[in-house]
Amino acid sequence: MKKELTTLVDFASKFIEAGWVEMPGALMKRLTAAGAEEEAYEAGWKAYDAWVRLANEAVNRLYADRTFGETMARAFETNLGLGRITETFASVFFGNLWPAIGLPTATEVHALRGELTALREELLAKEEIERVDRDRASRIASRTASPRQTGNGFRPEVIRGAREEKESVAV
Amino acid sequence: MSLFSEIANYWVEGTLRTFEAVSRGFGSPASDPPPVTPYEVIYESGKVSLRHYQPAQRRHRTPLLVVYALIKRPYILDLLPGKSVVENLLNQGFEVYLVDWLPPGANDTWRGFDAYVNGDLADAVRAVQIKEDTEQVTVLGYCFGALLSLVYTALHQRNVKNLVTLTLPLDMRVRDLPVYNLVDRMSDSAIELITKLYGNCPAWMINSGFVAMAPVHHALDKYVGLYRNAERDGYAEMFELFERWMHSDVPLAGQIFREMMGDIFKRNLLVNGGFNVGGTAVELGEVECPVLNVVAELDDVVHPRSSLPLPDLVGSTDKRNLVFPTGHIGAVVSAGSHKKLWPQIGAWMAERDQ
Repeated sequence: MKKELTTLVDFASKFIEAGWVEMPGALMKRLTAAGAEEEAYEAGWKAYDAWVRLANEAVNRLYADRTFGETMARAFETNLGLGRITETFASVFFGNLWPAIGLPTATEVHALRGELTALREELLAKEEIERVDRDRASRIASRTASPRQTGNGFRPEVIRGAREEKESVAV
Repeated sequence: MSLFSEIANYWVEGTLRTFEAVSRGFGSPASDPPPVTPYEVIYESGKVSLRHYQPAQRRHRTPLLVVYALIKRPYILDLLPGKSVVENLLNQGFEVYLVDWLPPGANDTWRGFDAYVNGDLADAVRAVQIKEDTEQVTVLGYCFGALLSLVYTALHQRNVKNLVTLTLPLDMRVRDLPVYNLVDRMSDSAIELITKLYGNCPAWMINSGFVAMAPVHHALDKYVGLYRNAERDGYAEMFELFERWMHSDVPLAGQIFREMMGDIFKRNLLVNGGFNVGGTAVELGEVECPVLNVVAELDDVVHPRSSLPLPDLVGSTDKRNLVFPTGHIGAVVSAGSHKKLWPQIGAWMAERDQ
């Protein structure tokens, strides 16, 4: 306890020294002498660092304080308790209210969302199958198609390719 | 004027980042930045995704399994080239596997130490054993991951060749960090209430705990630090990534949160004895493999005195503490750690490779 107090006093005295003695001195020097800007700048940061150390130590001291700890813990627990009561109340109140006014409950919305997701996945799977089939068909078509054309424009290979495509879809 | 306006700008950006994190419930796997080191996911089940990083030239036979903490995302171990633990270990020739814990959902509130250690972590070790066709792996755990690794080793010693614990929260009698006073005052019923109300311990609550450890730093000093170091090469980029990671908290599954707060933190059962996982008592004396306990001397998250007793509690004959002058996160990202600490850890593992 004595050591902690000494640390706090030590940090406070360093802050006073840096912020109230060194920094004003450096600022005065800057006003009167040219080229003292760097010194004022350094004194400013030194005061800031001393303030940060002091603030950290003050926060640590506050945390270590038994009364503060108990107050915070009690406030936290009360907050959680209130949250629990609110949640229970809301679930009882809205659980009865929604069906009464014809609105779906969260569970029903959840179930609907689940069905939608399943449908979406099914659709994606079908699209994927179709894409694979299309790729396969185009591969077959490119393998079998040839620029050879009969006089009436009939292209037997291409048609054979298309037929294969149909068979593969059925499979 | 520029000083104040620039710091104010950084502060506004930081506050917006916090709001954004709150709105998406903090961590989400989608928010991970692109990995620095390429990897392949070789196994995924339960709440574990196992990454495999391959070295350019393998120099050690025993595979290394890195166990990350359950809170926050693991990309802090692979943050930037030159500041990546994974990269450092690969350069030393280790075959690296990393446990990436998947965030628990509403149906995972039941997950406790048993599910994570005897289930997911044991499965991850098994996956490495199968892939490497080996019987033993070296396990390296960081922070909460070190605790999981220690419990795993105590329960499944035959699978572990060497154990490295980094910033291990172990002896909870140590209350040297003032913020512990606040957690100490929380009753068991408050812990129960959290899990009753939210199921899992929410990510925002975990983040608040970290912020509460250094409020002045998070509220102001880090932005001032950014202003003062903006000219330093790579500082702004590092700051951005680090902030992103600081907001990457994930929820902690309800049961493991209860066990952690009650059995470990409040009752210190792992050290005092009587900590049970899946019906089996965890005896630290059962750990018989070589143990390296890495302690960060300036750690303000896990007090060094909390980690230091490990060698006295394990049953190994080859065991030691390695104390390094760095902080909790500095141990994995600082230039000094990458230059001096990780080569020492690598050398220790290499010596015990055969």
